[in-house]
Amino acid sequence: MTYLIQLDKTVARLLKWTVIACFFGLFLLLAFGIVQRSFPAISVSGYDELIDLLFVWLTFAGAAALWREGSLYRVGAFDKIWSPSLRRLISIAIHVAMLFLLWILVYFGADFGFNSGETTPYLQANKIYWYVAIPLNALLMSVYSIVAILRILRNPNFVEHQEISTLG
Amino acid sequence: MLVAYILIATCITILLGFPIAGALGLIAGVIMIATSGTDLLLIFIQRTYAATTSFPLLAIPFFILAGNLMNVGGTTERIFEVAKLLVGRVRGGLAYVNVIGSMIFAGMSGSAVADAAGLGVIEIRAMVKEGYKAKFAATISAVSATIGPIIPPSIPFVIYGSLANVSVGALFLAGIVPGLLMGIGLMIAIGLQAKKLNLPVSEGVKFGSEALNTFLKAIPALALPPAILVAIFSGVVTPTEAAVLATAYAFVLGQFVYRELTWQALIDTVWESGRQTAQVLFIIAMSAPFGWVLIQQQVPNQILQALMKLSADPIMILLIINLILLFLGMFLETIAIMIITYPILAPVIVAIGIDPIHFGVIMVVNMMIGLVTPPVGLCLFVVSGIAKVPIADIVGELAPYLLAMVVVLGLVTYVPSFSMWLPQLFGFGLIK
Repeated sequence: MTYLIQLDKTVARLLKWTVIACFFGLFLLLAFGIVQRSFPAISVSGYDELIDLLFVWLTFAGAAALWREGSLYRVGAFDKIWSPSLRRLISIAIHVAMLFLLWILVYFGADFGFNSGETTPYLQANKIYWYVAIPLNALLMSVYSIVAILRILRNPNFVEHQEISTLG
Repeated sequence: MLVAYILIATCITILLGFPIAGALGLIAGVIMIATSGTDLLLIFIQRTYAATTSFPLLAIPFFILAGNLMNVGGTTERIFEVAKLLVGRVRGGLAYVNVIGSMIFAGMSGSAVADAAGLGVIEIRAMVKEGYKAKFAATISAVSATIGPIIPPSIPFVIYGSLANVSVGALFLAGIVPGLLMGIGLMIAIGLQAKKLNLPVSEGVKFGSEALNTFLKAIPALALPPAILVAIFSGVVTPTEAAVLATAYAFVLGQFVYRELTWQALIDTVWESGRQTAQVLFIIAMSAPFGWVLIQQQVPNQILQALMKLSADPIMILLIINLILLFLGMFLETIAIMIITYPILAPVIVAIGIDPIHFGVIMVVNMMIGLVTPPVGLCLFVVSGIAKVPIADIVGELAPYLLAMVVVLGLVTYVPSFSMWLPQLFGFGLIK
C-alpha cells in the first residue's frame, strides 16, 4: 500500500513538472519567435514542431493531473439533490462511462500514433512522441478512474474532490 | 430524431455531473460507433490532436498566466490604488472604484475569474473596511469582474475566434465599446442604489504628493493595456505573441519593479496556470470530435430550420438565441457553452445576416452574465469564498446589476455599431 501511495505521489510530481516544463518551454520558444523577427539571422529549426509537441503535452499531462485530483470542470450544482447512495451510484456510472471514452483515447490513440509512420519535416523526428501524449495520459486517467471506482465501492463515505473551475 | 438524442444526452450527462470534457468526448465516441462502427474513431483522435495544436489557442495559457502573475506580483494592488484616485467624494465611491479597477484590469487580463480572485480580494477587503456590507462588496466584485473578458485581451474571444475562424484582433476591437458600456451600466446601477442602500461616502481625491506617488507607482502597470492593443493592431505581434509579452511584462513588474514575486510563487503560479489551461484545452480537445459529429449529423441545419419555422425575423431569432444562451449560462461553464452552441448557431447567424464578429461579442456578453447567474455562476463562488458570505446573500443583491447587464446585452445585440464601429474602422467585418 505504501508503495502504491509513493507511486501515486511520483506520478503527481511527474505530471506537475511536465506541465511546468511545457509552459516554460512554450514561453521561451514564443518569446524567441518575437525576437527572431527583429534578427532573422537567428532561427530555431522545427520551431512549429516543438511548439506543437509542448502544447499537446501541456494539455494532456495537465488533463491527467486534473483527472487524478477529480478536479476537471463539472456541474456539481445538483449533487445535493441526490441521496448519498444514489450519488455514489452516479459517480460509479460516470467513471465506467469515462472508461469507455478513455478506451477510445488509449486504443485508437496508440493505433494512430504507432501506425502513422510520420516524421516531422524539419526535425525529422518520429511523430510518435507527439501523438503518444494522448494514449499515454489517457492510460493514466484510466488507472485513476479504476482506483476511484474501487474507493467508492470500498468506502461508503468517500466523496470525490470537487473544485470550482477558474476559466472564462 | 438522432439530433434530439444528441442534445438530450449532452444535457443529461453534463447535469448528472460528468466532467464537461468527458461528456462531449463520450457522446462523440458513442455516436461515431453507433453510426459507423469503429471506423471513425481514428478521426476522433485526429480531431482531438489537431484541436490541441492550434496556434491561436496558444494565447490562452499566457493570458491566464499574465493575469495570475499580476495578482501575485503586486500589480493588481497598484491598479486598485490608482482607481481610487479617479473617484471623487461621492456616495458609494469604493463601489465605483471597484468597477473602474476592473475596467483597467480588463485591459491586462482576459479572465473574469482572475479578476474576481485577484482584484476581488483587495476590493472586498477595502470596501468592508470602509463600512460596506460584505455581501454588497462581494456582489459588486463579482459583477465588475465580468467586464474582464469583454474589454481586450480576452480568453473567450480567443476561443471564439478559433471556433468561428474570425480575426482575434477584430474581436478584441469589437469588445472595447461594449466593455466600456458594461462598466458605465454597472456604475449607473450603483448610482441608483447608492442612496437607497445608504452606501458610505468615500474620502475623495487626495491631491498632492501622496496621490502623485500612487500614480507614479502605477504607471508601469497602466502602460500594459495600451501597449498590448497598440502592438496587436499595429501588426507588430499576433494576439498569441501579445499574450507572451504580457506575461513577460507581468513577471518583470512583479519581480523587479514591485518586488513582490518570489521564485517559489512563480513556480506555483505557473503550475496553477497550467492546471487552468488544461481545464480549458481538454474541453476544446474533446469538443473537436463532438463538433465533427454535430456537423456530420446535420444538427446545425436542423436547428436552423426549426428556428426559422418559429420566426424569420432576425430580432426575434436574436432574442431566442440570447434567452437560450442566458439559460445555459445558469448551468454551464463559459467555454463549454461557446463550444457546444457555436457550431449549432453558426448557420443561423449567417442566415439572418449577423456578422460573426458582432455575434462573438453577443455571445461573450451572454457568457459573462452566465458567470454571475445562479446556480452555477463561477464568479459568485469565487467572491463568496473571499468575502465568506453565503451565495444566497449575494444572489439577493444581484438584481439591479443583472438588470444593467441585460440592458447592455440588449444594446450590444440590437445596435451592431457598438461592436462593429471599431473593427470596421480598421477594415474588419464581413457584413457592412
